[in-house]
Amino acid sequence: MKNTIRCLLVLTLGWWAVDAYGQAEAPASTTPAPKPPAQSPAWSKDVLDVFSTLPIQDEGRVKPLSTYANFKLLKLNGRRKAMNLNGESITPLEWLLDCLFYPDVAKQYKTFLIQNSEVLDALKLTHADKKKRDRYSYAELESGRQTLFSLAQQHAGKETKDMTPLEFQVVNLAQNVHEFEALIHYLDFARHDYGVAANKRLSEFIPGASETPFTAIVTKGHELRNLFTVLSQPVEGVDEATRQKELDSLKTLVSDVGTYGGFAFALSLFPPAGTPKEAPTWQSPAEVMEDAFGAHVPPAHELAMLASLEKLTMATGNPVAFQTQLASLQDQIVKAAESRGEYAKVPLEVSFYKGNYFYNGLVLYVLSFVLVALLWLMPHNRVLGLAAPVAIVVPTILLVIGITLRCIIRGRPPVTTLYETILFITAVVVIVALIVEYMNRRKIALSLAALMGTIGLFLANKFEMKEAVDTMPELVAVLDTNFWLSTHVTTVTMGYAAGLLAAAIAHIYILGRLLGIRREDTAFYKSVARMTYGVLCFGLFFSVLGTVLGGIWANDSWGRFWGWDPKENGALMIVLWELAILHSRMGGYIRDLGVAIACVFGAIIVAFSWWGVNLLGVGLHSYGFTNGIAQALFIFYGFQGVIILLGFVVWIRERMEKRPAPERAISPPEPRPTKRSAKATG
Amino acid sequence: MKVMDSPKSLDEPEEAEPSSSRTSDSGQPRQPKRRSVVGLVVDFLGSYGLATVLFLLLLLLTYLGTIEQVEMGLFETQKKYFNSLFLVHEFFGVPMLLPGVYLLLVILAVNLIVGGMIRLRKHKTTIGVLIAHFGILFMMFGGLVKYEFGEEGHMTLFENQRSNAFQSYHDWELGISKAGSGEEMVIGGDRFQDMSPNETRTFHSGNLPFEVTISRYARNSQPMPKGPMFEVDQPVIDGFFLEPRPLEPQAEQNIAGAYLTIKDKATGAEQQAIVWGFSQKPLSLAVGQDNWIFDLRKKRTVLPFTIVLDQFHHEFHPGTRRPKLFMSEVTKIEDGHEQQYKIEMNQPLRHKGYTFYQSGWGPENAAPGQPLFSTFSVVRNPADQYPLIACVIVTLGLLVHFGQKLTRYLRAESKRSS
Repeated sequence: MKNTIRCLLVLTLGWWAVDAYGQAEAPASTTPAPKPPAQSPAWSKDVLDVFSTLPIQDEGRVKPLSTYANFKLLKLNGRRKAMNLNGESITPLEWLLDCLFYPDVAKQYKTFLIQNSEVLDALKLTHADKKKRDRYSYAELESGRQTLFSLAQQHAGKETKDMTPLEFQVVNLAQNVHEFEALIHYLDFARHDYGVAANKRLSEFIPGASETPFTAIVTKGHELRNLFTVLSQPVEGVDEATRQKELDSLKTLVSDVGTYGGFAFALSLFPPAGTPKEAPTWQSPAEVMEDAFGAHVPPAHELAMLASLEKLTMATGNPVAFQTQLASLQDQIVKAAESRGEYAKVPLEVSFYKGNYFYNGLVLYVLSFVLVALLWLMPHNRVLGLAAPVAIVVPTILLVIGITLRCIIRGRPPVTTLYETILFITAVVVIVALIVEYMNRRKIALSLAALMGTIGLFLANKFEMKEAVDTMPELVAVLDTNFWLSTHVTTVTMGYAAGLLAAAIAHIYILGRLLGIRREDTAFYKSVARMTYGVLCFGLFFSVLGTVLGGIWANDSWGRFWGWDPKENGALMIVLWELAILHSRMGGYIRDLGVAIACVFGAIIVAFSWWGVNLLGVGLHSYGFTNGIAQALFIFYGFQGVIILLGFVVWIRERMEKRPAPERAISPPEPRPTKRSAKATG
Repeated sequence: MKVMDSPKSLDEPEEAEPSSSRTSDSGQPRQPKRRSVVGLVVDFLGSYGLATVLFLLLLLLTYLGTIEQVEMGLFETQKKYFNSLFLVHEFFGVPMLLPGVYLLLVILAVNLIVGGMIRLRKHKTTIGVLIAHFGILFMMFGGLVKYEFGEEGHMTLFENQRSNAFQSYHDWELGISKAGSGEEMVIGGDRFQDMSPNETRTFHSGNLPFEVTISRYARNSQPMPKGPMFEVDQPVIDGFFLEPRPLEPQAEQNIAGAYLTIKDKATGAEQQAIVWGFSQKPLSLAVGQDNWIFDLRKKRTVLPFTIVLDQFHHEFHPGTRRPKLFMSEVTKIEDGHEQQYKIEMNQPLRHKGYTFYQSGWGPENAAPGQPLFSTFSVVRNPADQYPLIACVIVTLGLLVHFGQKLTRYLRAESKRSS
C-alpha cells in the first residue's frame, strides 16, 4: 500500500516529481551524508522507554513502536536481537533506532539472514568466510543490489509454490532489503540540505526553512504548486532568464522534497484528526507531503508533528536536545492518539512483550519437567512432591496471563489465529492434565502436563519465529464476530487439545506395556486407560459441540450449515474417529490397548484437521493457510505411526505369550463379546 | 479393527456395560437363543459393529472428499463422494467401489433409530445417550430437509438496481418464448443436465408450434469459429461449433452449451442452432411466421418480493488490503411497502424463508464514483434453525451422559484412595 505513494506522488506533483523518483530508485547514490557521526550509538533507558511506547499504525492496527521493531527484526534477521559494531547484542528497538537515526552504522549490522549461500552466488557476491546459512550486512549486499532486484522481479510473478527454494529466497531477500532501505532512508528528508537558505527568493518565500526546512517547504506546498504554474509560462515584468532560473531552482527543490520525503513511508506515525471511523488511516511524512502538494492541505497538527520529527532527527548526536525533542514529539503523537481512543492499549502491549510470558513459561516448563523426572526417580521425596506441581502451575499461570493480556489488547476471544491456537491448546492440555492429575494422583498426567507445556510453548515460539509477522493482526470481515470466535473456535480447539492429550496418555500406555514397566501393576494400566477414556470423552464433547457450532456459524455467515469445506471436514473426522473408538469399545471390538492405539491415530487426525487442511490451500477457511509446516507435520505423522506400530507389537507379543499359557486352560473363559446386537448403553 | 485378547487383567473393558443380548439380568452368560431372520437383521441394523463400520467409512470418505477437492473442486467432489449412493475411487490406480456418504447416512440413521433409541436400554444411566442420539438424528433430518427441499443461488445487483429473482449457482434452464409475447415456457435443467454428449432428448408441448431436440449437451463449453485448417467432430453452424471443455474446479464457472434442433410441427422443417449459457443475447429463430427466443441460462427462482441495492460499502483495515467490512444497504419492496435493511458478513437478511448473505462485491479495481455491485447468496432452507435446536439437544445429552460418567469415576477414585 505504502509503495503506491510513489505513484500517487507522481500523479500529484506532476512531471517534475518523476525526475525525483528516478533518483529515488537508486538511493545508495543519492542518500545524503547523515549529519550524525558513524559510530555505534548508545541509547539511554529513558529514550528507549519513550520510543517503545510511541504508537504507530502498522498492518491496520495501532501498536507500539517496540512491537513493530520486534517483528521487523525477526523477519529480516530470524531472531529478536542484533549485534552492533562493538559486538554487543542490541534489542530490536535499538536496532530500529540505529536504522532510523544512524543509517550508516546500521548498514554495517549483520541484519539479513540468508538461509543458503547459493543466493550470494546468484548475486555474484563472495562469501568465502561465511557459513552456508549466515547473516549479512547491507553493506555486504549493496554491490549486488541491482542484480538482486532484477532477479526478484523475474520471479515475483510466480506463485510461491511454483518457485524453487533459491528463487523464493531471492524474492524474500529482495523484499527484506527493500524494507530495510525504507527504514534507513526514512528520515533522509530531515537530513537533506535543500539549499533554501542559500536561495534568497526561496528563503523569503519559505519562512522557517532554516529551522525545519522540509516542514517549512511542505507547509508551503500549495503555494509552491501555484508558483510552479506561474513560472511555467512567461511572467510579466520578469525577464526570461530570471524566470527560467527560478523555475529550475523550484524544480530542484520540489524534486528533492519528492525524493527524500518519498522515502518516509515506512512508519505511519501521525494520527489524523477526527475519529477512527472518520479518518482511519494514520499518516507518514510521505503522506503529509503528498497531501501538501495535492488537493488536501495537511492539518496544522500533522505539520507540527512533522516538524517535531524533523527537529528530533536534526538533534541526533546531541543527547539533551534529542531527549527534549523526543518528549515533544511523543506528547503530540500520544495526545492525538488518545483523543481518537487509540492509545489506551499501547502501554499494555509494551508490558505484555516485556513480560515475555511465553518464553519464560517455556523455560519454567522445562524446569518443571526436570523436577517431575526427579520425582519419578525419588517418589517419596516430599520436597519434590510439592515442588513439581508448583513448578508446573507457575508457567501455566504465566501462560494464562499471557493469553488473557492478548485478549484484552485485541478485544478478542483467545483464539483468532493459528498462532493463538497453539497457545490456547497448550493451556487447555496442561490445565486438563492437571485436573486429571488432581483426580488421579499417579504423576502420569503431571508428567504429561510438563512435557506438553514444554512442547506447546516451544512450538508457539518456533511458529512465531518462522512466520515473523505480527501475531495480533486485525481480523478479516468474516471473522469479525466475537460471539462465534468465543464459542465455535474455542470449543473446537478444546476438542483438538483433548484429542492430543488422550493420545499423549495413550503413548504412556503403549510404551509402558511395550517396555514392561510395572508389568504386574494392573491397577496402574487400568488407571492410565481410564484417563485416556475420560479425556477422549471430554474431547468428543467439545469436538461435537465445536463442530456443530461451526456449522451454525457457517449457516449464519454463508447460508449453509455444512459445505464439506476442508476445515469442517477435519473437525468432522475427529468426531467420527472418536465416535468410532467409543462405539467399538462399547461393542467390545477393542479394549484398553485398542483404545490407546486408536487415540494415537486420533492425534494424526487432529493434526490433519489443525494444520494439514490448511496446507491444501482450498476452501473458505484457507485464510489460515501457512507455508512450510508440511515437513514438521509429516514428522509428527511418522512419529505417531511408529507408536501405533509399537502398539501392534505389544498386541501381537501378548497374544503370542498368551497362546501356550497352561493357566489359560484352567482359567474360566472370559466372556468375550463378539458382535453386538444392540446398543445397550452409551 | 479388532485389537483385543490381551491379558484380561490389563485389557478388560473398563466399564462393562453389557447389552441385553450378552448377559442375563443376573449377570450370568446367556444361553444363545435361536433368532429369526428378521431378528438377526434388526440385531445387525442396531449393532455397535455396524455403527463402528459406518463411522469408519464416513471418516474415509470425508478424508477422500477433502483431498480430492484440491484437484476436482468442491462441487464435483461433493457430488461424487457426499451426495452419492455409490462411487468408484481409485486407490493407487486400483478402482474400488465404495458406498457414498448419502447412503451411509441413511444406514446410520437406521442404526441410530434401531440401536441407539428403540433398543437402547431405558435407564437413568442412558438418558443422556438417548437425548444425544435424538439430537444427532434431528440434525441429520435437518440435513435431509435442506438437501431435498432447499434452494440456493445468488443475486447480483449494481447500486440502484433491483431484482425479484435469484440465479442458481449450478443448475441451468432453457427458456422458450415468442418474441414480444411476454410469456415464457421453461425446460428445467433437471430434464437435460444429466445428458451425455452422445444423447439427444426431444421436448414437445401443445403450446409450441415446434419440437425442441437438445443434443451434444456439454456442462462446460465454448463456441469457437471453425477455421479452414482443422476439422471438428461437432456440427458447424454459421461458421461456429460448440467445443466441450474440461470441467472447472469451481463448478459455477462452467458454462453449459448444447445444439438445438427445432422441428416445425406444421411443415416438418428443421433448423439447428447453438445455445450457450454465456451468450450476450439469447438465440432468436424464426419458426413459421414468428420469431422465437431460446435462452439457456442459470436457473432462476422468482421471489415474492423485490430487493433494491441502495448502496454498497467496503472497508479495508488501514494501510492494508485486509477486508474489514462489507455491507450492502438494501430496500425490500413487498406489496408496495418498502423496508430498509443492512446486510453484512455474519448479519444476513431473513425474510419469508429466504436468507440473503453478503458473499461478494466488485469491481475490485473500481474508480472512485464508479458503481459497485454486490452479490448475495440466497438460500431457502426450511430446516434453517434445525441445527441450532439439534446442537442444544446434543449438548444437553452429552453433558448428562459424560457428567454421569465423571461422577461415577470420581466416586471410584475416591473409594480407591480411601
